[in-house]
Amino acid sequence: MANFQPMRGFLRTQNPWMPAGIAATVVYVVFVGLPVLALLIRAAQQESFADSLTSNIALQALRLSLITSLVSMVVVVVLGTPFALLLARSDSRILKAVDSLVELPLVLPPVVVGVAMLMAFGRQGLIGPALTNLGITLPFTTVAVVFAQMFVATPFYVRAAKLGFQSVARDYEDVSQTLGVSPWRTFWKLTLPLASPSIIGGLALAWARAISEFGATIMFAGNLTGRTQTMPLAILSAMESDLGSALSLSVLLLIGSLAVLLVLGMFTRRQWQGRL
Amino acid sequence: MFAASSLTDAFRDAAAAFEAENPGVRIILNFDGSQRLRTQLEHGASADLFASADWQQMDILVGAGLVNWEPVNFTANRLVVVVFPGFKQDPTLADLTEPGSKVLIAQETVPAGFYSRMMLANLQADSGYAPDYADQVLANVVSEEANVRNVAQKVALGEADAGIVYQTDAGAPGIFQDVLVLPIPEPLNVIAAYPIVNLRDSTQQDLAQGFIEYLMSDEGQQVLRDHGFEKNQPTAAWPAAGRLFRVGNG
Repeated sequence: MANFQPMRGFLRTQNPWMPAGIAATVVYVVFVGLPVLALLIRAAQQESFADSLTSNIALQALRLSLITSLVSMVVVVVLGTPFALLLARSDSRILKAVDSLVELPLVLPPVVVGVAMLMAFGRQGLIGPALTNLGITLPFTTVAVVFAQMFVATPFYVRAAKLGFQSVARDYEDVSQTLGVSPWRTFWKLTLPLASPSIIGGLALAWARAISEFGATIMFAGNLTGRTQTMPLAILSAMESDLGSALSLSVLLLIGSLAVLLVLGMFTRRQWQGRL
Repeated sequence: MFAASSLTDAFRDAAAAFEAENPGVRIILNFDGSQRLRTQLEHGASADLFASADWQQMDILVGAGLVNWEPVNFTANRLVVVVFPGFKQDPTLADLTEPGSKVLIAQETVPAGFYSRMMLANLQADSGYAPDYADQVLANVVSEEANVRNVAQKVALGEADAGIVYQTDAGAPGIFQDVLVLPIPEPLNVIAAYPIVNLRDSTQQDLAQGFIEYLMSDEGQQVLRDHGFEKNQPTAAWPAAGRLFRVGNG
């Protein structure tokens, strides 16, 4: 009987996989939601919740996290966008090889990334002596924090941007240029807007990875309040002595990250609505 | 068995020897920072033995009623300064105050970091060192590492000029070849006492007690000494010395 009447809502489809899908969704939401909920509840129970959030160390760490991740994202976008466009548009075999290396940083444990960065950019690293001659020392500096974030976050952005550019049919660009629109204008007015939902999604992921960066930072940049101690490092330091304030800091990071992701999400939806 | 990470190499050897003497016994070792192990034990982790690098963590567990019997000191460790050989010719402790030198220290919440600051304060109070010695050295600190072994590793890599570590770290494989070791003058140094205890939730109390006895024996003490630890002092003198650190931390 039900087969003859269209059902309302998301169960309308007759797909036999649907119950499995719903069950899996419930399991997943509980699996991810429960620890986050537990974190929020325990943090809210802390008597010193407000004090932990406004402590000098927390504020300095939050400020440093925001500044370094912002700088990282600017560099990632400036360098990653043309890189992704090239990967999306070129058939060169060399670039195909490069393409498969883009995601390599994702498989390296972050601590190993940190050690590798020390071995490359450190005082005694591969190009360390050359940098020292130029008066540049990277380890234990805020620049090193940005380096670590860029290294681990870039793959998320480049991959998403590449897929975004690939989703824009080249025919559109050809038509645009046949109509006398310059390649630059075509990129800004056609390719970029059409690819932007994917690009912004990639940016959100990259930013989330940068703000949560820990292992590479603590190896390469060290841990000093105000200079290299970002939120995740401050949380670990607090964890050593005071679980309560570590939980409070985690909630601060969670809420801040959620806000940024929501804003980016809204921006993506508006882009779509404007175009379609 | 939960043990402070500074005990890693020594306890692997000690456990192997104990297993050889007691056929059929297998010791599962879990190493981490003492304060992190203590947090895990407080939150329901179960183990037979807990060996801490300081009394502060031990006292918290004792206070929470999570132990059987009194903890006992079984060994001791002391601080040294490790220096990257490229830092300068014939370095001394006074060189740590030189502006621009890069000094690493463990963060204050781990035992080694707490002892390091105490040792610097001892030097500052001594007439042989600058009246603001500790402040000057701390101003040169480029990173407060989460783990004292990382301090030693980064100095050995040459990324920092000097670091304050345990003598067991300075003598560890992969470290001692690449660093110079500056001892701290005897009365000004801080000696870290290591207590061990049988935990309340222990399911193997006899074996746990047996391992403690093994550690206190000449054979067990020799294993610890081979890894740079100091011979355990008569117990009477030690709890007092150990507890002094707790008082110092307020």
